[in-house]
Amino acid sequence: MVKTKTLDEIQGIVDALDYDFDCFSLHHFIKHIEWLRNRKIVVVGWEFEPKLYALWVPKSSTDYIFFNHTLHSTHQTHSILHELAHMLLGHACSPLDQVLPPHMLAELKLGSQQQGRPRTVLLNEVNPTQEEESEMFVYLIQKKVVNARRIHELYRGSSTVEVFKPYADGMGFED
Amino acid sequence: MPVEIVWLLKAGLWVIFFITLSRAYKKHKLSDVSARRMWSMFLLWNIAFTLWDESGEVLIDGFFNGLPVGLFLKSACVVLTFHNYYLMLKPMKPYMQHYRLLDGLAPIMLAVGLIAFIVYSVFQSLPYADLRYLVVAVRDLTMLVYVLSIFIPFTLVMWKNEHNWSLKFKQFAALTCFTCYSLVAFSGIGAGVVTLVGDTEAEAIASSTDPAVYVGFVAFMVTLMPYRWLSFLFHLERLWVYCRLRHLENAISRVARIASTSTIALTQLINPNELELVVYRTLISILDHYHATQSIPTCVHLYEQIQAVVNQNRDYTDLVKGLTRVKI
Repeated sequence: MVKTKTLDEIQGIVDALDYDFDCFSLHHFIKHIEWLRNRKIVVVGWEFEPKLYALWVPKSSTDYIFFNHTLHSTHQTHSILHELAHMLLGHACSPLDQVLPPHMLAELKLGSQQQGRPRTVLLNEVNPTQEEESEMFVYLIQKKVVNARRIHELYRGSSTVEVFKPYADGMGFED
Repeated sequence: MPVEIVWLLKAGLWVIFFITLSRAYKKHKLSDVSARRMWSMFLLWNIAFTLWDESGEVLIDGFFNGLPVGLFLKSACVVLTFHNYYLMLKPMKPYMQHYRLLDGLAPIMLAVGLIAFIVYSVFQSLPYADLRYLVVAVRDLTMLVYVLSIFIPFTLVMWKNEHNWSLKFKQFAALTCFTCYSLVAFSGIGAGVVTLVGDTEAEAIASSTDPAVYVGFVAFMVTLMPYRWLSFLFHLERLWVYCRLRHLENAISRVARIASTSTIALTQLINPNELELVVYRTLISILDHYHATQSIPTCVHLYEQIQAVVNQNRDYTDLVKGLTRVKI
């Protein structure tokens, strides 16, 4: 039986990443994970059907993350982070032919026995507990990112009206 | 409004002014020309506010043997503030040739004011009350030209284009301030005209817009406040955003037959960071499941609305704002 992780354990894994979330960008974060795991991550946009959001496919030396590029960018980022969470939390994969239709496997040039992990609402989740852990992992990351963005927007941001910017900055309203 | 409360408001305004000014000074902001122009505007307007009612004028006049220094000083501060603000906004539309007419308006009005003050001081040929209504009418007419031709339209453009929440709120406060003082200006001009024709109703006309003075006063205070002081208003807005998104999520959950995001604790709603995360979680739940509404005949309109918001708003903030406007 798979041992479930507590919120504190997941928080510990996020903290152990030792990443500065004040300057978070998805690309930068992925590079950081690659460096930590010493393993390449390739992220590829794909035109999946609307209810399949992303798919993690581990290969011998590289991890592939396919994401649905028709989604909103916020949803794309969330789904990619979700797949990264599976990697970092050590979640198991399952044969993709159990979760993807044959035509999609063929499109992605993946064999029927290829292991992978999708983020989808198309079918019953293979391991709901691990899906929840991954979502929790993303929320813990977003908590840091959202807070940094909120503080920037509220207390540190400058005017977006070019003419007014030097006047607003000169007032020293920000923290 | 009782005189004590008016003076309390004036004292409050100066306290906010000096707190914000000291913050700017500590951050070495005052070395910049734009900053100094902005601060001189606020200083002049603070002086004008302090002398706004007759009790303020009387206080100053007492130091000058009863000469109407307070009245002319206040009017000069208003005209200079508006001229400075005009110079700040002018670069927004430098090609508008007729705005050049405003370049000379303030210097002319200041010169006219100075001559009027000297003439009155020497001859004192008018009762003080009549002089007051006439000076205020000329000042308010000048103020109205600036406000209606430039300040309200340009501040409206800045308010629309501003994405910094705190500054957007300050632009809204500035708009409120200008609207209030336009109303005040109309009554001031009316009182001046009535004085000219010898009617005795000037006082009643001039005081008819007194409430607008104090609304404008509070709005002006808001424009001076540091961002952090306004953050509680942002929190209230985020609570409203969360309620709207949760309502939408519940509607989708009923159709998609899935559980909505877990129950939210009160502590999460009070803590700004937790609330922002709750908004994010609810948004992801909506994005995960809204496609389920596409196949339900009664929900097609809901699906189309959400899809349109998703297609048209690529930015997270705009997406959240757009979804709050979806009609269920």
